[in-house]
Amino acid sequence: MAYIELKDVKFQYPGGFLAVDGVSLSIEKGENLAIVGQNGAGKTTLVKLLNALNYPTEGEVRIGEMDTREHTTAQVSRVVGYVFQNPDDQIFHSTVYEEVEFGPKMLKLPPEQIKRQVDDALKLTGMKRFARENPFNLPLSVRKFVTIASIIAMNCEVMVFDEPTAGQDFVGNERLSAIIKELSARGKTLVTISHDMVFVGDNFSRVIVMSNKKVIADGSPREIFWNLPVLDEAMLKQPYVSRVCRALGIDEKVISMDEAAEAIVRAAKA
Amino acid sequence: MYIEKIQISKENRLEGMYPVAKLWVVLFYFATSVVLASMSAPFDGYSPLLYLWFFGVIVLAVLTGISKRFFKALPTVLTIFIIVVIVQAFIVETGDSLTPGVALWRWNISEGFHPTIWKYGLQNGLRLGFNILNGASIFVWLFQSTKNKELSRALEERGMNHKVVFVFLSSLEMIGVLGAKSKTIMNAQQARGVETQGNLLVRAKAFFPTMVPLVLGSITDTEERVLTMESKGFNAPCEKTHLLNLKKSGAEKPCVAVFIALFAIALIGRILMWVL
Amino acid sequence: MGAVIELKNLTYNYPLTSKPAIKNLSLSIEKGRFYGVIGPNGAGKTTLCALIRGFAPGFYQGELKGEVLIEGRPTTDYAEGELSLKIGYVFQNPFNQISGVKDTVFEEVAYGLENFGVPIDEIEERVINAMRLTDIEALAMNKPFKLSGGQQQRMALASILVLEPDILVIDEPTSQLDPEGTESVFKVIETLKRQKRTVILVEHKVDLIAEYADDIIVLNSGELIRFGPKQEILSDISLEEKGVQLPQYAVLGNKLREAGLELEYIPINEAQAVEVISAAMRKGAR
Repeated sequence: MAYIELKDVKFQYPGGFLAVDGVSLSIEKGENLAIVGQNGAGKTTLVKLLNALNYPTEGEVRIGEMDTREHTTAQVSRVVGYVFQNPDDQIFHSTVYEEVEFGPKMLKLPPEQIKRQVDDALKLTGMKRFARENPFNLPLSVRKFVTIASIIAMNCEVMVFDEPTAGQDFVGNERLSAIIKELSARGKTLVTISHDMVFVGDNFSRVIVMSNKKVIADGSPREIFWNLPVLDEAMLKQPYVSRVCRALGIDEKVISMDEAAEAIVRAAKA
Repeated sequence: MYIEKIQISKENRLEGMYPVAKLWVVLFYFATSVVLASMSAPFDGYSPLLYLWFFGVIVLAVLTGISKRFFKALPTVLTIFIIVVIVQAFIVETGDSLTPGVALWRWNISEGFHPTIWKYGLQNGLRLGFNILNGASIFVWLFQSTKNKELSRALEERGMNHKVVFVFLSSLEMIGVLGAKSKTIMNAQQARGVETQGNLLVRAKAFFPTMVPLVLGSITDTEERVLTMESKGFNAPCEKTHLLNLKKSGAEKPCVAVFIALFAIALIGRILMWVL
Repeated sequence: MGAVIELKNLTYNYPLTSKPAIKNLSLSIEKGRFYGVIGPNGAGKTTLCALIRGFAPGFYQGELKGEVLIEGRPTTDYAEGELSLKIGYVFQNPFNQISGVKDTVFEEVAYGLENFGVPIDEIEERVINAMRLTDIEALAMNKPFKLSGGQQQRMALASILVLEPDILVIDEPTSQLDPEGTESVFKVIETLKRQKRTVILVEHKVDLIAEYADDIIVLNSGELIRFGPKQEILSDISLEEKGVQLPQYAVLGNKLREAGLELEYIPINEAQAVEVISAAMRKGAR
């Protein structure tokens, strides 16, 4: 059995609105996957099932040995960390350091370990130089990294990122890539929601496409970004470079900038 | 055609009354309640007329055609009423330290513990409780039969500053928005290990992590809101146009007259009680 | 020629800050052109917009050196409300732009006209036009808070367009929207471009800027580092070192040149990329 298992999961909001309709999914420990799809496709509702912010109304969600229905969100949060889209929904301390320290403190870890994990998270996210700053004096795009650090500091096995690239610039995106790479190298299981196809193509080994409350495709970025009917159904677009190669009639399933350059040069020489 | 569509039209003439007339009804209904509350001498200290007066607002709500919405909002008010009556009845023995309290009922559970319903406390509780009940219910009637924008438009027509009216109206609308936002924040904090469900102590611990982002978030949002309002000419120093224009339903005068008359009767009755 | 906005040697500090948010910036904006403002976060893009609109120093206070002239008059000279009719301003967060006092999209869009005392019989027509332009007429009787992000942002655009301002300042209108919402907002922006309006647009999605802008303003640490026609600026790979994101096509073009492919010019959008690369490939094949 995989580390994370969703079995025929349905989720219906108390008002009766069905947001996830029969999703089964297995995620192995250490996998690094992205979930893509339009707003309203059910992405956020789905990932909230992973950390027991939502409980399945039908089917079951297992994280390791744990059936989420038997635990509170706060309990599951020891294993599954979740970075919300809007950093202002969670920041409430007057320094970055205290904010990042809050999670590990809630876990009641020994002080030396807290310090170690906080320092590590601050270094990894580039927030070390802001440690003594009031988070509200930092721009929104930087505050986002504060919240990422505060989840990394909890050192959870699984981490969920909800649209980390929203509002980020070039440098921010690069930093996010580096963070994801490092966490993945440490063996963390990462689940990221993203609208940015370039970012998805560059950073993930597995892509799950959601449309209309269901998972409609699950595969490598290359499989997904060249499965045009699926992209159509989910109203997604190929990454820019894939589109250009297709328009140029290049017969290679290109998904990244470097691949595109190489493929074009090869085609020109042929 | 859109401008016609946004106008408010109500079939029921009481519901369609001009909001200011409704405010007069609220005022006289409550004033009558206060007068009736003091008419207790001939009834051994109870105020039966006050209790009966509660039916006044019920009849009004039914005639206004909003009984469904009205009764839906009532349980909250009734809960407060019951708590007030019970607390007063069990605790308040007497009005002054000289007269001994009259016990209406006593449970002799054990030597030192015998809960007692005191006559004075019961009367006091009923008086206070019914005043609260009547006052709250008439406001329920007002708000269930009047849209916020109707009320604010009427206040503006009566010369209230448009900025004050804006604050009034947007605060009412913002309650729902803040509710949704605090739910998101609560979720975000649960996701980092804050328990929000459980006993009082657990909830108290969750207070800070939810309130701080809510308040700070509202403050940061305010900046953009203020500038947006500025961009839409909120402070433009000219006479404003109003798309929404309120109409009178015709029931204003008779309805207010009825409540003034009832108030007058109650007042005369009260004065007669003094004199006789 | 025909400058509607002139910024002269602007240096601006927010209150209680020692580092200026905008440093010694001079710029002139011409009527009927579309300007894209790009640069890393914290470069001063939003501050520039706020200065043009007079929110800085008007609302934010702070210290301003230099001059902002709108049609030859300093922003500080304009009476309250007067600038709103000259310059329309659309913000990032669609939600915060809802007045909260109107029940329907129609009334929300009409709000500015009410404030400016426009006669009732004129309002309806102007609101309908604005709703059509932003493709929200079908939502006219819906509740503003119930709309999706993209719809709310288009309503925000409509509420400003209805005032018929000469200049539009749009600050990252899509940063909080999904691709579908982004596209719907950009469709409106495309229409504005066709109507030859003067637009100043801040946007991170540089591939979209490459489609619509005429000129590009590049800011970095509060300074104007480049200003000129988009073809010239968005193809300049050296800007990447300054943290400026270039269109994917331009990056690809530069990579291909490095690899020895003879591109006639560096493409900045898809159509250009296909054209110039296929031409080079034919040459390479020959």
